[in-house]
Amino acid sequence: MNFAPQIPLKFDGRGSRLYYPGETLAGSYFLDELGDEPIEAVEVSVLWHTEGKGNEDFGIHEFWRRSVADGDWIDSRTPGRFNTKLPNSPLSYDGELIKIFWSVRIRVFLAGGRQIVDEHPFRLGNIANIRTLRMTHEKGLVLESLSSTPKEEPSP
Amino acid sequence: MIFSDGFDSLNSEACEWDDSARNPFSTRFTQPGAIPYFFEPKFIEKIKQTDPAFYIRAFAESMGEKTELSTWIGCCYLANQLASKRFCGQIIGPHGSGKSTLVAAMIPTIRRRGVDVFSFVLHDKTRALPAEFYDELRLFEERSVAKKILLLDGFEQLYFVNRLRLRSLCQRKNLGLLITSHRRQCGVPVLFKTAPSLETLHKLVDYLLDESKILPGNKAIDALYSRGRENFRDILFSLYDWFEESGRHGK
Repeated sequence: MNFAPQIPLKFDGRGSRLYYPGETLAGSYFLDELGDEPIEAVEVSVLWHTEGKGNEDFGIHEFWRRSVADGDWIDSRTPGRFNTKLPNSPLSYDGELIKIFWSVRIRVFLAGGRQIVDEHPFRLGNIANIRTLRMTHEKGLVLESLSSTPKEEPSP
Repeated sequence: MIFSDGFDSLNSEACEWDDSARNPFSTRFTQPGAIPYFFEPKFIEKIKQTDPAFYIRAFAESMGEKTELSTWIGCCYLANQLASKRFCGQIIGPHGSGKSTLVAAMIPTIRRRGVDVFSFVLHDKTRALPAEFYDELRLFEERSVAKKILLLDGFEQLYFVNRLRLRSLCQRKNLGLLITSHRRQCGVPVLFKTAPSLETLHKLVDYLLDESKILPGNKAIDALYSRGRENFRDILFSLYDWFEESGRHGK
């Protein structure tokens, strides 16, 4: 699977893709690398989805559509902007059975009928992944067993 | 991707994080419609030998399609077979052998022939058609297309009486019927029997892992096949666990 981005996106802020609930997510996307074909519409969604062994779930937090048909001016040379306040949940999670991913998805509709979709992931919240949690737990058990080992009696 | 303002490293960092967190055996990547159906090479070879003109035509058609060549040719062949049987047919095969994946792959080739498809999946122990089926069918019937097909995945879940009712409904409304089932259903011509081989499993794993440098190894795949046989769904679940436990760390 190739996740190489086609539509560059730059998140505003401190230079990390880690955000906390209630924080503002904003950024610019660039359409100037898409070629000469006229753009009919651009959709930007801030969304989350689950991945894992079972059925998937997803939710759209915010959605914007700019369309030439609706009278919007779309200039591929000018970066597009988006801005939203992030919700409290669901937080990004990297578990074994389920993972929750947040991303900004940009869908561009070209005049010839072609669509270009690109996703830019970010993290909401900073929950450690399951492997880190397990290692911490195992480490804790080892430390606990070491501290409960009876000390040797001093020889008379 | 290079940003002129120096954000290239930030972007690549985020993509690395995304790639490593993703399990290529997640349902998202393995569900019907997300992966092609890999036909056995001998099936495609048989099509090529028995009907070379059709093979060349299907080959040319596949140029504009984003799918595997063998998947497209095999599905086109089955869509033709379905048309020749008055759009009534069944795909049979054991649990997890790829019946749903095959019918999902067939949909674009059927639609290409000007036939609209209403697809509905019956889950385990659904003995009667739910109300939502009839609601969606009503909307489907309103579409102005010359020929329409009802694609029912998991037909054998229905009680015998409900299967008869459904078939009479299709006849009454002049709908075609394409079903998947574990066992042969009387009165519906068999189009294809799914029985994937070890070679197909290797091909599927290669496809899912794509450019990944981490591979489970041929012996591990052979062992999974000998244990799971034709149930690729269970094998893919096992590979999901393998990737979580060791695959993503390259162990």
